[in-house]
Amino acid sequence: MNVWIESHSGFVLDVVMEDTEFYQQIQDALIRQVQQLRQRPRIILVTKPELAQVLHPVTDLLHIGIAVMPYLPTVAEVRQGLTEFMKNK
Amino acid sequence: MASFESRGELNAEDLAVIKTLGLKFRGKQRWPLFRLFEPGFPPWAVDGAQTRFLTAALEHAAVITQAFEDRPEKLIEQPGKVLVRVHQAMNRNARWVGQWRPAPQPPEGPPVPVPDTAFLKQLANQVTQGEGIVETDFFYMPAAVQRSRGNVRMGRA
Repeated sequence: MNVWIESHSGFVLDVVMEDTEFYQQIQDALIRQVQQLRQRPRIILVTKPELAQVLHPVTDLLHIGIAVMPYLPTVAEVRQGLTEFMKNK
Repeated sequence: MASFESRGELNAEDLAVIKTLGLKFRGKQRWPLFRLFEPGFPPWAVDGAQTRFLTAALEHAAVITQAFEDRPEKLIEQPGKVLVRVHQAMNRNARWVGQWRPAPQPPEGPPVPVPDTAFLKQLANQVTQGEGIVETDFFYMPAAVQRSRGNVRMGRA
């Protein structure tokens, strides 16, 4: 695994890994969050069917709902923030 | 991909090639631009082999364009099929013909990892049910990461 970091801010730009390893990281991130909060969310919303497929084995066992939505406002806000951040670099 | 752009869209190398070839272009959306588009990578200049392939593709596209100029609807009237140019060898002669073939399917993605079922069942019993709604996504960063000359990729967030 290779991690690319923006030299001034320390912002993680990229984590280069095999696709299966990338999928594993996504599943692990959800599991870690549930472990840390000791609480499962009611539902996880995603925009990509591919991401729903990756998360489904975990959400199914943890009894978390999952749904694919065409637009997610918070994700859109984060993407816009990243765009603005990179523009100023 | 080949497209016609304004001069400002071309870089110094593009302009140098045009100058070397003695070509002249004027006006907006009149300057030819050739770029390689690959998922995870920013648009990049085409190399020799890609240029030869693109040249052949444009030649065939011109043939199809002329053939269907008066009836473009014919190009989309067979759902699930695409018109493919096929090279046919006939004795000592060879020719290109058009054939309708099934549209290629996208390749299957990598397998989804199977989590530790016993561990997750145990975890499900240890945590409480919340009312939270979580939005999750992954996407390419709006920035390129320079690994080495000729090998630039987009970051993934």
